[in-house]
Amino acid sequence: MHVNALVTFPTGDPADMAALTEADRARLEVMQQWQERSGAYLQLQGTRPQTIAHALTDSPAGLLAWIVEKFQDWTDPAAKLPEDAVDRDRILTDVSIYWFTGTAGSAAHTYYERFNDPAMWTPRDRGTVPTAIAVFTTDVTIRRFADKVHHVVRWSEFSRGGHFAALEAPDLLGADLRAFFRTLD
Amino acid sequence: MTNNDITAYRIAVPQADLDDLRERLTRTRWTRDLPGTGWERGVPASYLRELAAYWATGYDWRAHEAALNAYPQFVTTIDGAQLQFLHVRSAEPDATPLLLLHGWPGSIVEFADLIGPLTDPAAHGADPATTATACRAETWARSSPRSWAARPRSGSSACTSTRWSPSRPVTRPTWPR
Repeated sequence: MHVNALVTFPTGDPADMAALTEADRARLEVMQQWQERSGAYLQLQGTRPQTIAHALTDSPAGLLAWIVEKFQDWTDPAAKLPEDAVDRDRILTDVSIYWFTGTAGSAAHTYYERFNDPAMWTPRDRGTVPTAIAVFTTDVTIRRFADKVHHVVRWSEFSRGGHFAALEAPDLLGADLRAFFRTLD
Repeated sequence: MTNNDITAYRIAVPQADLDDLRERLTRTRWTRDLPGTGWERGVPASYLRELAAYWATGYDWRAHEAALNAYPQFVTTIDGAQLQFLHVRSAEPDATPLLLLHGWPGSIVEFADLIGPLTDPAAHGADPATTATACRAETWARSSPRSWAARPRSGSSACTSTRWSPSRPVTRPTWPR
């Protein structure tokens, strides 16, 4: 399994907190601030998805704003605007897919499902699948926490590309995928 | 469509939907930005108006629809929910099967620049020693009655996207590997 944009959570073990590097602490801080400053979409989709669904399904301008905010917030900070990170037509094709299929609502509901899925929040055994984790500029993944829940065999950090790594840095992500799966043969 | 069927699929958005989108965009009732504010409060109206205008008049959906349709696409039903996916075969004989999953607010378009190099590395200037790609799209979109596969249901959290993923599509009797 190869993942990027993985969110990791503190384990509750004081020893893990004490062992965090300065970079880890900075990521943890970003994650905590994120909840307060830009987590509106998460709370809304996680708690009242059907209410926002009406607006998103009726207004393409509203849907565009709802999605393009994420291309602004989650792309490489070096990009001043969404289209500096991802081709404008690609962004619009993505939004068009949600629009034409009328699926902004059902997509929002997946957050509600996650919020209300007990399996999401119960501790589980550490994974056994060999896992590669790619960390791009906007990611807040912390190695020490990831190791507690996943069988991490590869860890790659990149200084270019953000949350939408496949669109922002397909060369880096593609090379990392190939390098990782080659080792599993 | 019974539960085990995998059906070939092509995207074909009706012209009426394109016309409706353009009309809605041009009739948008715009809000105003508070003086002296920017992205920290959300998407600025000035930015959104310009992007929406381009979506309505400059952006060519049909060109992008055709690009998506260049990939073999399929629809199927898993756990009662319909989904659409791409399955792109590799140019290499011993390619590793690979399943690509996206999150919100992504879509299959996220993989537009990855599929070529992964499935046909030689043609993209890379070592063909690794290859692959079975590429899935969306477990959680698709609710349009006019297809791309669409029946979301409750009780399927994001966990489902992984539950749906690794082996299930490829173990279907009609699925070669």
